[in-house]
Formats: sequence, C-alpha cells, structure tokens
Amino acid sequence: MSTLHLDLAQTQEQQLDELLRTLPAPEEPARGVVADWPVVTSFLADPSWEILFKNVWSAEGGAVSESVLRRPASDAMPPEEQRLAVKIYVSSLGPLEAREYFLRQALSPAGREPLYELEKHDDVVILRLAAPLPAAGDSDAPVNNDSLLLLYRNVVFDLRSYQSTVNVRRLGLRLQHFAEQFAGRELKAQDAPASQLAHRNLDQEIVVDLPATPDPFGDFRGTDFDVKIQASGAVAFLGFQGPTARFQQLGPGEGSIRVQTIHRRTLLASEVAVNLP
Amino acid sequence: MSLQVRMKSVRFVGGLPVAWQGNPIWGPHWEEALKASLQEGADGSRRPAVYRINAQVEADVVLEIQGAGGGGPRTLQGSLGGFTLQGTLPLTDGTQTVRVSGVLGNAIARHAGDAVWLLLLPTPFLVGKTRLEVFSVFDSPAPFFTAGVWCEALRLLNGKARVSGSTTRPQAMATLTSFCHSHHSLKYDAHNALNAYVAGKFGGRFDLSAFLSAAHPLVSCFDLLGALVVLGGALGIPTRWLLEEDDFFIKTTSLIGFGLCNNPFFLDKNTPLVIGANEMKRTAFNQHGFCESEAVIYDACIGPHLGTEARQGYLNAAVDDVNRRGLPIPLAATIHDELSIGSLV
Repeated sequence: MSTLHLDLAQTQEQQLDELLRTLPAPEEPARGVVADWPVVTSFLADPSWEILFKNVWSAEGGAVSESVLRRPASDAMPPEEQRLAVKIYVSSLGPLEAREYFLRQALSPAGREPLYELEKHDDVVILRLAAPLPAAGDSDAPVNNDSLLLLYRNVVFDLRSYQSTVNVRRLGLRLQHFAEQFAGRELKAQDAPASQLAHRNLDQEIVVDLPATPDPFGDFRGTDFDVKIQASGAVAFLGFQGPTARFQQLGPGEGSIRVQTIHRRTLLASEVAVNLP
Repeated sequence: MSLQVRMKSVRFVGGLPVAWQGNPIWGPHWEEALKASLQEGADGSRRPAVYRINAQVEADVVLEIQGAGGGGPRTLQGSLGGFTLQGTLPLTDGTQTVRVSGVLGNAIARHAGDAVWLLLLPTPFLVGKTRLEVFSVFDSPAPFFTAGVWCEALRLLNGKARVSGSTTRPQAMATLTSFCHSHHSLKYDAHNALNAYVAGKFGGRFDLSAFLSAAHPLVSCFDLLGALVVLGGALGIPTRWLLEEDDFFIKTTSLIGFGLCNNPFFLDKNTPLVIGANEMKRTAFNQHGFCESEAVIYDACIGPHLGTEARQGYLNAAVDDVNRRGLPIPLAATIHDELSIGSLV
C-alpha cells in the first residue's frame, strides 16, 4: 500500500482527481458491492459500544446509512463519552458515482484546510482528514478525534471518532474486507427496491406502488425499506394506503412528485420522479 | 334516550405543510380508530398541524350524535392548553361535521395534549378528548423543507431551545443562537473544524435528524450556521448564509463548548485557549461562516453574537487586529453570500 503526503504544489482537488484516475476502469455493465450490511457494532471488538443514532437517506446515485455509536465514560476510559460515527454510502449505479461522492466528501469537509494523507492499493483509496492528536496525559492509548474516508468500488466509508481509542483506519479496513466478499455483483435495476408509478385515474389521482406497507402514520421503520415522499406545486399528498402512496393533482398548474426508496440492508436505492402536467 | 355524542375525527384545514419522520402528514389529525397509536411522547401527536402566528385555525370535527331530541344550534368547544376552538352545530341525531375555529396568539407556540371537547348546553356536556398538537410559526417553512416543516424540529425549538413565546423574528433568532451555542452539548472541533452536519462551507445538505439529538459532539462554524438557517427556516425566518474568507484572529470570546478563547485551533498546536496576542502559535480562522437575518448577524460558534450588530459591527466586535501577523479587521464588503442549505436528511 502506498502512502502519499500532501503535495503543496498541487491543490487537494488535483491530487485526488489524479489518484482516482489511476483506479481500474469500471466494468460494463456496472458491478459493485451488493451486501446485506450488518449492524456496525458487529465490526467492533468491544461489546460496550451502543447505537445512539441511526438514519438512512438517499444520496447522489445511491444511499447513505449513518450510525453514531457511544461508549459511556468509565474509570478505565477517558473522562468523556466516546463516540464513533460511521457512514456507509453505496452507489446503486456503480463505482463512478462512488468516486464522485468520495471527491465531494473529501473536498468540502472542514472549516479549515484539513491536514491529510492518502493511501492507495489497487481499488482501495484511504484519505485521512485529521492528523492524530497526541496521547492524552500519561495514557498509553491515544485518544483521538480521528477521521477518514475510504473508497472501495461503489462504496464509501466515512468514519469519525470522538475522544475514542478506536483505530478508525483498522475499522475502515475491516468494513472494506467485509465489502470485498460481496463485490463483483452486477448492479441490476431489479436489485433496487421497486417503487413505480402505477396509474393516473380520471379523478386526477396518481398512485405510486411501494415495496412495503407503512404503519397507519406512514412509518416505514418496521419494514426493510425507507421511503421518502415529496409533492410540490399543484399536487397534494393524500397519504399512504397499503403499499401505495396516493397523490391528487389540484388543478392545471405544474407540480411534481418524487418518491425515494432505499433498501435498509443493502442500501440500494431507487427513485420515481413525475412532473405534471 | 339520553344524549350520546362520540368524536369520530378532527381534521385541521388550511395549515402550513408539516412532516413527521421526513414525510408529509395527511389528515385527519385525529381519528377514533387510531386514537391509541396517535400519541407520541407525553403530549405529542403523530399528526401535528402548523399555522402562522395570529392565524385563524379551522378544523372539521365529525361527531356521531344520538338522543339529541331535536335541540337547536349548540356550541362545540375544544380546549387545548390555552388555545380554544369553537363552532356551532344543529343538535340532531346522526353524523354531523362541525367547522370549528380559533385564533392563535402572536407568539411562537406549541399547544399539545388531550384536547377537551364540550357541548355548551346549560350544563356543559363532555363529548370526549382527542390528542392534538398545534404549532404556531412566523411564516411558511424555508423551501428546503420539501415535505413540510419537520415537527421534530418544532418540538426541539419549543422545548429545549425555549423559543416559544417569541413574538418577533430577532427574538427567536437570538434565543435559537444562544441555545445552539450554550445548551445543545456541542463543542468546536478545535483541531480541524471538520463539518459534522453540513455538507460544506457553501451549505448543501444538512443532517437535521442527527443535529436534533446532537449525535455528533464536535462541530464547525458551518455546522452551526447550517443549524441557524435550518431551525430559523422551520419557524419561517428568512436567513442568509455568509462567508468571510479573509484570515482573521478572534478577540477573546466564548468558543462553543470551551469558554473564553482567542486561539480557536488550540488543540492543533497544543496551546492554551487564551494566548498572548502576538504569540507565534496563536491560531486564526482562515474562513468563517455566520448567519444574517434582517440585516443583523447571528453567530453560535463564537460570542455568541445575538443579532445586535450589522456586518461591519460584527467584524469589529469579533476580530482582533492586534495579532502576530498584523492582520486588520476585514471590511464588510469582503463578506459574501453563499448558496445556503439545499436539502435535509
């Protein structure tokens, strides 16, 4: 694995861009990681980590799963609660979109120019955003606010530690080794969750079929899917009814509907967008 | 047969768009069939409604009446905390839909809990209780609330952030800024100022879900700027995303999470929070973001600055021109507007 340090003659963007160009050309049709992602705590040796916050959302060409873990302070540990944030981005389209996502995350990360170092090995790129802090007091274990981005094929791992003794580089490589077992699968549209425009009827009602049925209040947390609805302009959202989202066209004006669907375990995503009239 | 009245549903009409868990809420806002699962937390609802301050709130209440005996028009009254809705109905048997209305106060507020509904007969008749939650805000939410304003954000604003009771936008922004600076358990990333919630220095995506629970403890100035824009936007307060890219040293002031400081990247250089003005290891901002609303500045990162200064006044108050590099106070003309927040997750 080669390590590249900041070259002051080049901008960070130039260096990253050049590095990403050396990655293997994406295959046709697009291939990548299609994994059933386990809970993030399973990648940590210490069982005292617990999940504080979890969310999934649609991102450019894919989806992000964000988990924030905490490890309560104890006598043997640093005085502050330790936290660890793990974001996993999976492109549903292929490695090119993941490279663009990686670049965006790398180039706009901070309120100041971050110190960083780059590593590359075959199709793995690691960008360290923060230089490690010195060990606290006389402790042998370095307590870091550490941060790195790791790109592997169609996946980007974004790891941050706060007051934590976790080695984020090692964690990143553990996640990447897991992903490696599920790489090389063809990224077919049928792997993504299927939301599709069902029909428009004479009452100007528009129906979008969903891959799951939410609870009566539109909560999908009990299902394998996350669904986000947007209706704007001359369109009103009427509600969910079984595995459908229903909309009403309110008149002759322009309107739009957007339904984003994410499979929570694979993080494959799809989107239905309808512009009216 | 004695009078029997059952609440069937309550549907607010004409409110502002509102979202729960990021998806739009649809009515009715209370249904008999779902009453057990409508409750959220101690007094919240899974289908809240949002209106502008001073708005006339209207709702359609569906009742099932039996044993009315052909009475004349009667008043139906619902009370939710200090907020009252009233309407009249002919007291006849069958299913009746009653349009009730009430006027909200002139302040940011949250009215929540089990509304008590009475028929105002000579002896008031208790019809029933319905779990409702109604917010009042200044105006329509900012456009990045594409599914409607997040009720979770309004709960934070009216709860921990103590913005309820604000009658003016500057008052609400000052309270919000003070909350972000001092009461949300956030600390400045005094090492690298990595963004934790916002995509970048120009704005973009903001991780509101995580911000509501302060999931990431370390923040940059842009995270705090994003929070002011987003939470101000939830209340219908227009803001601008301002960026100063000239280097500047800060006067000794409160740095979020640390207290008095004139050396914001003190962890990077392993130096004290407050250091001699001309010390070689004293650190400066090389870019800094802050929020403007109604031509005054709000900054939850340093200060905090609570809307008492315009652009130049803010720079004069915040920047220390006694420093090792002889950097002057930047001119307000060097501040520029950026894109601001584009989406929420």
